[in-house]
Order: sequence, then structure tokens, then C-alpha cells
Amino acid sequence: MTAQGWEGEQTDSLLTSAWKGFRTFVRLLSYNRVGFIGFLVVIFMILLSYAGPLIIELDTKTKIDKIYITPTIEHPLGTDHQGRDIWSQIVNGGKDVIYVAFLAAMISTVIAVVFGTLSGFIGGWVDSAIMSVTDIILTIPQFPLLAVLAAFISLNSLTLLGILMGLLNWPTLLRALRAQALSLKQRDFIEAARALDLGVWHIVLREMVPNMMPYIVVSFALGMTFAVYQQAGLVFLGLVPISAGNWSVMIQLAWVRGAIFYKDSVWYIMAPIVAIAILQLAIISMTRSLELVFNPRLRASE
Amino acid sequence: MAPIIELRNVTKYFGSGRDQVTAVDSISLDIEPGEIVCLVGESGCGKSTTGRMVVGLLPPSEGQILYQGQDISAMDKADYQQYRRAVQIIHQDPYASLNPTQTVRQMIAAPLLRHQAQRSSGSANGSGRRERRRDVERRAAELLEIVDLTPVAEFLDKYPHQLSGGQRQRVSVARALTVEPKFIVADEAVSMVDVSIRVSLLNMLSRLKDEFDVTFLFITHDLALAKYFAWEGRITVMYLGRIVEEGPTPRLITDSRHPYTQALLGAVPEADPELAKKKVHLELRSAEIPSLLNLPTGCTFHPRCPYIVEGECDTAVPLLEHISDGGSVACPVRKSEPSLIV
Repeated sequence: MTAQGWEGEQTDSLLTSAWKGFRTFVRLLSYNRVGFIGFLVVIFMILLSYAGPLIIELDTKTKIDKIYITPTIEHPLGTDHQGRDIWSQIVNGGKDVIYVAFLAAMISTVIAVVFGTLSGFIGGWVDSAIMSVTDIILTIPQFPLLAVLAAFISLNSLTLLGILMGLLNWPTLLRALRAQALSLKQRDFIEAARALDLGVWHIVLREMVPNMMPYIVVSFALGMTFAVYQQAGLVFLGLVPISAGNWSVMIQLAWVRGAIFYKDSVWYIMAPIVAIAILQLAIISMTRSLELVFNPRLRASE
Repeated sequence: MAPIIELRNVTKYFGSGRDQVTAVDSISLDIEPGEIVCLVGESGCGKSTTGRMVVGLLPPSEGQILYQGQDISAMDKADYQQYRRAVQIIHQDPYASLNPTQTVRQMIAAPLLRHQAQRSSGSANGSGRRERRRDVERRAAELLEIVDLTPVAEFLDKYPHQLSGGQRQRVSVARALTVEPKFIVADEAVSMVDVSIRVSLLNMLSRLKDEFDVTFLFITHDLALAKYFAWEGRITVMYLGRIVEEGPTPRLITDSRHPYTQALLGAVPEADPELAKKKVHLELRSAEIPSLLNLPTGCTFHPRCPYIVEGECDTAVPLLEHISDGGSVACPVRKSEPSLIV
């Protein structure tokens, strides 16, 4: 009877268990309405940016007779200073923004989780060493540093930009996670794991991190929003000469081309700003639901 | 036979400078394999600290802890790992001792998997991953049956919050058993469990002692529990970091010598009103437990002791002396006076 319980579990194919997991995930997300709407909007923005370009091609043709026209059926968001369709630019311009933000948030979160937890759990000289590095990075003003770096390295690759931002954004999260690890370390179940000789990596990754997961996921999402603003800021200042069109480049171009001086050009400058704002709002709302996903009490109540 | 665990003048300080506290003050204790030893004392007397030092979770400030004759602080890696697994702890609070994010299956499989990997790493024929997994699963089911969590299939996928306190404590025990320990420190293991299921938990623990040759250090504040669990073993009574009396359970319960032990025994409530009336309560001079930050001189119990001998008890720290009836007492005044309390 008992053995059947085990083997019955194994007969579940990978696909079914993945589907089950996804259903639980969606069910937990839907507990909070605002969070769920945020989640849906995030999904929509991702689809728009990644699947949209397959349908709507980027309009690159200059049309002198159609400069700064207001929305029509043909051009739902009007046209820019060269008569190109803005909607097609919005659809094609989200990919890079999301990619860079995701990459940066991913790198900084992984660094913060691994080293923050290790630092708190092991303590001693490991803790001192990690915290010194953290404090040094924390005191460097990031934006000016990126600006200076941009002058030396040509930041024309998005991946490079994302990695650089990721390598600079982790200290705050690391400090917060270290504090959590310090308190978790005192808990009986961590002591029991130590007594069972489960090893540092098991204790950090399997015992501690899952208990910090709600916090980590929320921090990841907020890290993404931070990275979106950071790259938009860098591009806007013209420090990152990225040629491909994306929302940040659109804002910069609109600004440089003097879009703020024309009444009809409001569509051009506002479109990418609103797109970024919607993305940010959606991510931040989604965090409300994300922490629910990792609550075992809710997860178990099938 | 050599003792499985031996404490030699073990002392533990916490803090430093003016805030330094001596939680455990030079205690020595031998525990033979197969024995049950109860460590009894009120909260703050250092009994849990002692337990955690025995398990190696806290290093002693002074003195040595020996496992099978070897000092654990001087062991090489292989020996230490062996000790590490052989000595396990069961915590007091069943709500804090299980990881809330893991199911029972995960909690029990993790040490089994790690253990198994290390055991079989030497053998060349690495059995298939699937087979290993099945082995682990079978063993986990067995362990749950040993701790009476049946039907097993019902419990494997439960999270801690879906279990009662008693069930959680059983999971803790099953988890400790994954590494086939020889020695278990049960730190107030049943004190936070409903009274009605304490006895069945205790019975389960004593069954482990018989079936798996586990030696127990049972830490409790409740002499009645100690009496029930360790009738065939020994009781060691601690007061403010020192051992004040120890001896075979029957002697210590019926013929205790140290005034503190007598006070503890007098405080055990009896369900039977007739018995309760007959009980002799030792009138203490003070109900206040001195602060660890400012310990009394001499015998730390002298400010509360009704048998105080001025000039002796408040100056000299009494040594544990053997008595002919078994065990030893740290009270030169009362050590040969038979107890009034029965």
C-alpha cells in the first residue's frame, strides 16, 4: 500500500505534473485580484513584444507627407518625425527593454541570493569578506559609474549592458537577504539539517532559500523595474549608443528631434513612456500575487 | 564498556566582559551505550545548552566532549562525519523544527539521498538513479511506519502545517532516524505536545531504544516525565549550570538528597488528591531564581535552601560526592540524610 503510493507518484508524466504545477500557480496568483491583473498585463506585454514583431513589421520607410499625423486606422498611434508608424515601433521596441531588465535583475538576484545566504549562514571571515565587497559596491554611485563606463567600453551590445547593470545592482538585496539568513540560521530546522550533515549547499539552497522565496521573487520583480528605468535613463542621456529601435531609444529620439515642441507630436513621445509605465505598473502589481505562490499553506490546499 | 558520550569539565560561556554568563559550569557526565540519562532542571539551568554541545551544534568554551573515547574537537574529517551522523537531536518545538516549505517526503528523502550517495560512491556498480530513488522511498516509508505515522501514503505529501504537534514530532524523529543514529538528544521532545499524546510519544521513543540500540539523553524540566521515561536509567539534576545530584532513577525519586531535587519532586503535581495531601513540600526560603549574571557565591542554591549552614554553603562550592546508595550529590550538608519525600 505504501509502496504503491510512491510508485503512483512516479507514473505522472513530466507533462502532467508541469500542467498541474501551472494550474496551481495560476490558482494562487488569482487569490489577489490586483496581482492577477498585473500578471495578465505582464503576460500581454511579453506576448506583444515577442510575438507581435512576427505579425507587425517595423516600419522603416520615411514618408514625408505623413509626418506627425494623429492616430488613424492605418496608424493607430500616429507617426513620428519621419512619417513612420509609431505602433509598429512600440510593438518592436519592447523586446530589448524586457530582455535587458530581465537579464540585469536575474544576475543581481542570483548574486545576492547565493552570496547573501552564504554570508549569513557561514559567518566568520566569509561573512566579513562578502560584506566588505558589498559595502564598497554599495557606496559607488551606480549611475555615474555606468555613464563613465559607457565612455570607455562601447555599450552597443544589449547583453553587455544587462550584465553590467546586473553586476552593479545586487548589494541592497544581498544585505537584506543576509539579514534574513541570519535569523533563519537560528531556527531549529536549520540546526537539525546541520546535525544531519546535509551540507552547506543543501542547507542554503533547499532549506533557507525556499523560506526566503517570497521576498526573493518580489525583489526580482522590483529589480526588473529598476533596471527598466536605469536603461531608459542611460539611453535618454545618450550614453548608450544603441542603434536598434526600442522604447528607450524612442524617447530619446523624440526628445532629440524636438517632439515636445509640436502639438501633434505628443503621440510620438508619449507612446513609449506610456508603454514603459504600463509594464512597470504591471510588474509591481504582480508582486502582490507572487508572494502567495510560495506560501506552502496555500499551495497545499488543493 | 566505554562510554558513548563523555563530558569532561564542560563549561559554556555566553557573551563577554560584564555581560558574560556561565550557562554551563564545569559539568562531567558519562553515558554508557544503551543507557537512558535524563537531564532535569528548570528553564535557564543550562540543560539545553548541554544538549546542543553534545550534538556538536555549540562548541564548549572549556572542557572536552568525547564520543566513543575521542574528543570531538580533535577528530579528523571522517571521524567527525561519523560522529555527526551518530548523534542526533530532537528539538522541543515541533512547529520550528520542520521546514515549512518541504513535504514530509522531501524532509526524509534528503538525508537518505545524501547518505546513500556517500555510502555507494565507493562501489563501482552505481545502481541506476531510478533504483536508488526507489530505495530511498521504500526506506522513508519504513521510517514513517516505525514512528507510527500510518497509513504512510497519507503523510508523505503533507506539509508541516497540515500535521498536529504530535505528528510533527514523529516526523522529526523519523528524520533523525534516517542517519541511523546511536545517540539521540531529546531536548524537551514532548513538552510542547498535547498531554494526552505524550505517553504514546514516550513509548515510541523507548521502543527505539530497544529496537535500534539508541542511547538517549532526555532533557526535560518535568521530573514526572523523567521518572516515566528513565525508570531504568539515570537522572541528572542541574541547577544554574551545575549538576547538583545524579543517580539511578529509583533512588533519586524515592530517596533524593539534594534539597533542590527534593523541592522539584515536591512540586510535581499528583493527580490523586490523597497522594497530593500526603506529599511533603519543601519550604524554600525564596522562590526567586538568581540571575545568571549575578550568581550567588558558594553553593548557588544557598539563598533558597532551608538547610543552609551559614559560613559553609555561601563560601565553598560543593563538590559532587559519591554516596553509598548510588549516584552522587553536591551537598555536604544533606548528602547522608535520607529524604522525607516519598
